[in-house]
Amino acid sequence: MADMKAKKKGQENSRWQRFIHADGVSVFFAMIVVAILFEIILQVMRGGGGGLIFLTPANLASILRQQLYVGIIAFGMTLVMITGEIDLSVGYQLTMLCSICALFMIKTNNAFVGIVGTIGIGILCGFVNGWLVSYLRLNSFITTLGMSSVYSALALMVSAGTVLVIPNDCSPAFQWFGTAKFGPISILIVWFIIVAVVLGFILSRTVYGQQMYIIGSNPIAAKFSGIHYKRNKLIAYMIVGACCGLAAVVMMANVKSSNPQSSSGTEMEVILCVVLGGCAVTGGKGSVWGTIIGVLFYGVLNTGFTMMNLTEYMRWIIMGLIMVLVLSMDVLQERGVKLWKKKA
Amino acid sequence: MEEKGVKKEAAAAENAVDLKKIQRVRFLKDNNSILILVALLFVAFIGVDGFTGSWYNVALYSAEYGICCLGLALVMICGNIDLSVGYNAAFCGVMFVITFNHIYNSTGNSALGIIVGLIVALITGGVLGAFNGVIITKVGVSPLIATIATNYIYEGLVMNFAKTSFAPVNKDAITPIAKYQIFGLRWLTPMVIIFLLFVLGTYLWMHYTRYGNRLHIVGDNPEAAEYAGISVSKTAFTTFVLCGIMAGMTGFMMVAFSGAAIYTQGTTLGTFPISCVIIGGVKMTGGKGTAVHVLLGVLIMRTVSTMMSTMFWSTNRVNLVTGLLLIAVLIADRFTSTKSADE
Amino acid sequence: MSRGDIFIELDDIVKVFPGVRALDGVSIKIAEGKVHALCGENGAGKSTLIKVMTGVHARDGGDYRIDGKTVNFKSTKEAIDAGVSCVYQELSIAPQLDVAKNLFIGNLPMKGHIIDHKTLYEKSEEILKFLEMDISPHMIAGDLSVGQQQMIEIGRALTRNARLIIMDEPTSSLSEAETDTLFKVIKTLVEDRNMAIIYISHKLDEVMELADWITVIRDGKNIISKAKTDFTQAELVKNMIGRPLENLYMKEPAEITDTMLEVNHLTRDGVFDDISFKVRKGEVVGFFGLVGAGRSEIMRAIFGVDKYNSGEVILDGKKLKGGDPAKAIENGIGFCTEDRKKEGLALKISILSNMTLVKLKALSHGGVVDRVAQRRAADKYMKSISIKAPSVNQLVGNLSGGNQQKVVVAKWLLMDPKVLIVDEPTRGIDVGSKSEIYSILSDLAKQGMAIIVVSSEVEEIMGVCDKVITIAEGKKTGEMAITPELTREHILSCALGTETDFSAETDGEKKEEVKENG
Repeated sequence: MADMKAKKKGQENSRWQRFIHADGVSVFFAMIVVAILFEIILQVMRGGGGGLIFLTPANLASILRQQLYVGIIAFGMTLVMITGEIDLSVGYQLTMLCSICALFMIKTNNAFVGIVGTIGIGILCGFVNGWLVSYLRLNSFITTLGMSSVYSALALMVSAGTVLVIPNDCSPAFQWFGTAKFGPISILIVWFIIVAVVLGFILSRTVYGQQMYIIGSNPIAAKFSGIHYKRNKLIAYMIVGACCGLAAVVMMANVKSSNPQSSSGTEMEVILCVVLGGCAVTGGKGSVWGTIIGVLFYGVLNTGFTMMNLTEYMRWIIMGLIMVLVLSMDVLQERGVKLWKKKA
Repeated sequence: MEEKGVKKEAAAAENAVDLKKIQRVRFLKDNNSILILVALLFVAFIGVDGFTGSWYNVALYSAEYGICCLGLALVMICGNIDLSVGYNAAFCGVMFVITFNHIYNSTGNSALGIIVGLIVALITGGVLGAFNGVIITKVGVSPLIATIATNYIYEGLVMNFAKTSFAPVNKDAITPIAKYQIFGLRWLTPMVIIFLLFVLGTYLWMHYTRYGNRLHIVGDNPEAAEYAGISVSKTAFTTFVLCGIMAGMTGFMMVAFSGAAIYTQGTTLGTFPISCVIIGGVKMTGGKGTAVHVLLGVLIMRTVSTMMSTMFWSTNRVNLVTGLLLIAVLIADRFTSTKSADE
Repeated sequence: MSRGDIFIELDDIVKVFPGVRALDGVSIKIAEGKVHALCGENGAGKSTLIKVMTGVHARDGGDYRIDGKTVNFKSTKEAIDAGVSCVYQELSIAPQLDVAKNLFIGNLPMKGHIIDHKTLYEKSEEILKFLEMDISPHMIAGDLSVGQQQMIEIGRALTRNARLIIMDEPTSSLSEAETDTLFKVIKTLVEDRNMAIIYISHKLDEVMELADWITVIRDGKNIISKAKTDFTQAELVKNMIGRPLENLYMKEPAEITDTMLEVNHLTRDGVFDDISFKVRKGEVVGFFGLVGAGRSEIMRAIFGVDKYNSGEVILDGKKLKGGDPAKAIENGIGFCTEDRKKEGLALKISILSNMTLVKLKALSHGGVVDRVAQRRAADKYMKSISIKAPSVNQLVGNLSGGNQQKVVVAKWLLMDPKVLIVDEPTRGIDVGSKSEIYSILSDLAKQGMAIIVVSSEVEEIMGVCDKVITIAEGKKTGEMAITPELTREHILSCALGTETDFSAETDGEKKEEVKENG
């Protein structure tokens, strides 16, 4: 009798644990805890009594809105990081693509050229990165860091170092891309959801997606199973490029001015989102669902620290420390699993 | 039977010739950076107008950033990497200026300010380097992603303290370190001498001391090192601390050279040291390279950038070339490596 | 101390790994100035014993005394300082350092706090001369041949004032001339310098030539230990194999029909040479040889992971293009690799994904995976080969070795291969899982699959196979049908290269050719 009870409890326990260990669930709870903490801290800082400060619907909506561009790129980055590689050039890729998009629109005022051209060039950037990394087998970190400075230079060259402004009376089709509204829902959120669904579908439901996990987890096993790991990695990089292109188009349609000097640090935001969402830097682990949570978590942190009146630079320091912490926990957890196995 | 013996001898002779040839090829392969430098200087002096008047900049700029390249090389010889070295140096520069100003304002003694400031800068660099070292060698995070994260932290630190440009109150006391021309030679300033001393010191340390000698073994074959009783993690940790200290020295040099701690200097430093170190002949996979290789690498990269600035190229073009150069260097490293990187 | 005095004693050494008693009371006495050979089959416990002696592993029981004093080495460094040095089977050369620094690794000659380069290179020269190597100590180790690197490793032990040098398969990568030199060196060390050598080798003629004393270990126990003069080679083989064949894994007869896989004159320079054989439907062919004989390399070449220089692979009448595993899989070759964690499985991923990996294309429509079909396929094999896990969503990393192995087998069964190659299918798994895997193989043969089993256990080969092909040093040395008359000694002798037997070879022409070569 007691045995059965214990067994039942064990089962429940394991079901609970499985739930907790599912992608993003624990991060989701952590996010809620952090949001509540921010609420408490802000209440204390501002003397309280004025009702909710942080957890208001308006504030939460703005958190989501701020993170949309980063989020779109983060979904693409999830694919690359699952294969165990990285793309550090997304920040300047975005900058460059924004300038190119603006240039296209100023020169042609043709929505088709602006949109397809920008995304096409994004895919081309991804192709170059991916080819260097997968076919020439260069180190992805340093290669994409090098490509980063190439893209930043190209951004400045394309725009001659000036801020390019798309005229307000430009092609309405192009404007629709960034400003349309479906009832109360901005098109930005629709893009975010579309990219998440498409890439989520690719990752979890397609042959290609399932092979990505094997490539990241054990490239040698992938080779022995006849998977074209080089080609698959290349495609992942091209997807990131396409995501950058889309983000650039949406951003330009919305903001209408490109600053070739900006965007340093975007790659860090993107990577932090992906890592927070439970993607292992060593590859083989992660999901789009996790990244969604990561993006939201990052938004909560960013907004929270801003509302606490921390300077941008203070936020960088804290974000960096959080990243180090997450990475360390990942490694220690992996080691811990091994230790536990040895004992068993 | 006899025939066999003769054959054997002939084979041995052939073998000896082969080995000599291998050795010669190896020497050229390992020291190709000197050929690159000579060829580059030849092109620069013949082909670039005005280089004869500006070549001393190669020495000055090399000395400014060279020391942190040296530190990075130590880390890379051990098989790791430090991408945070740029902002580490920038932050040390900021710390130097803060300390210097504080002491100068309270005592009016600039010599004391420089000494204490320098010590603070070196300690700061060492601490930041040790922070990298702990995360990488003790916890076990991959050095690439770890130092990208810490780079972000150090960048935040620089911005937080420096806002825009951060000048020492009495910069005339400091700039002679970088600008005073010994014997009236434009390329020979105390800064250049300090850099050469660092190169020499590092070379001697790695060549003549037991600890310095470990670096190559640890980078080349960590397992063999452990079997021979050498602690891999301890050695790697030491290189991170040394790299930090050298970044501290670079921070000080940057202030001396430009007269202020400029926040963008971290960005300028971004990938530059990696290019220098690899082009000089240090391998990404570790286990190869000396201080002299780093010196050559820095000179090569600085010759290229001086050529470009002599030709009045815009920064964009310079950035473009630096990025492409890094990729080219990586490809060259990939195809000349004795160790295969994967599978 | 004089020649023949015992200075190292190991008493009843026990070493337990999770699930295995690797050493179960081994005792050895080492005398100065003698060569002590250690013999045993793969997995008998020799490597573990060395690792206990050199401080890599701590012992779990027994006593280890040097000069009568009990020692507890916590690192290899301590063992080296106490005079116990080892030349490991895997190379531990630093390929980018020069020869001198490789020789004196961790032990550089010093003058005060400064490295004495002059002595370093002078002493290195001396050692190289002693080893009869005609190379400069300034050469980079990575530029040397594998044999030369091996000699440098042996030279390394000489720089450490070792009293005992353990050599684990030192001749596996040496040429004949180098082997001769090594033997000369060993004799000088023993006779002139009064050193003790522990010599481990599969090559019994070497053992018989060199050793003064021979110890045979088997299943972690020492079986017999006596002077070489009291041994004959036959007796040695018999003691290494030991226990009588257990008929645990007898294969049920299957109908053998047409030729499925034909390999002709397959050669990869320096790895294997002129390998030809045929596998028919319903036939299980065993590949037996010592570790490093080139068995796995042949399989890798057939599968296309490695390239080969000449020869051809014909599958079901169609010639296969080499060097492309994807093509091999498409044509119906499955390959369960030797090292399942390194080459076979993605440990961070679920059983489901691992199992259906090579079948994924067939389980999908236009690139989209049919999850129901995927799940059904995986569930079917979970049941049919009884993988013990709560669900197919379990991560493979959390399974036991035996179950992991079954996942690998299932992965290849799912694609319905025409030819299945299994490399060391039962390494490191428990007895229960072993016999289950054997019965799976037997069933598959009955269904008409052609199967190749690579193994270094004679019992396994004799129990599961219809035919055995022996490989020694990259060459085929035998092909015989498994009959009740076939003895283990005979198979082992062929694998050691001391005998040849092509009685079961189907191709008459081929037979003569090999004999000529031999």
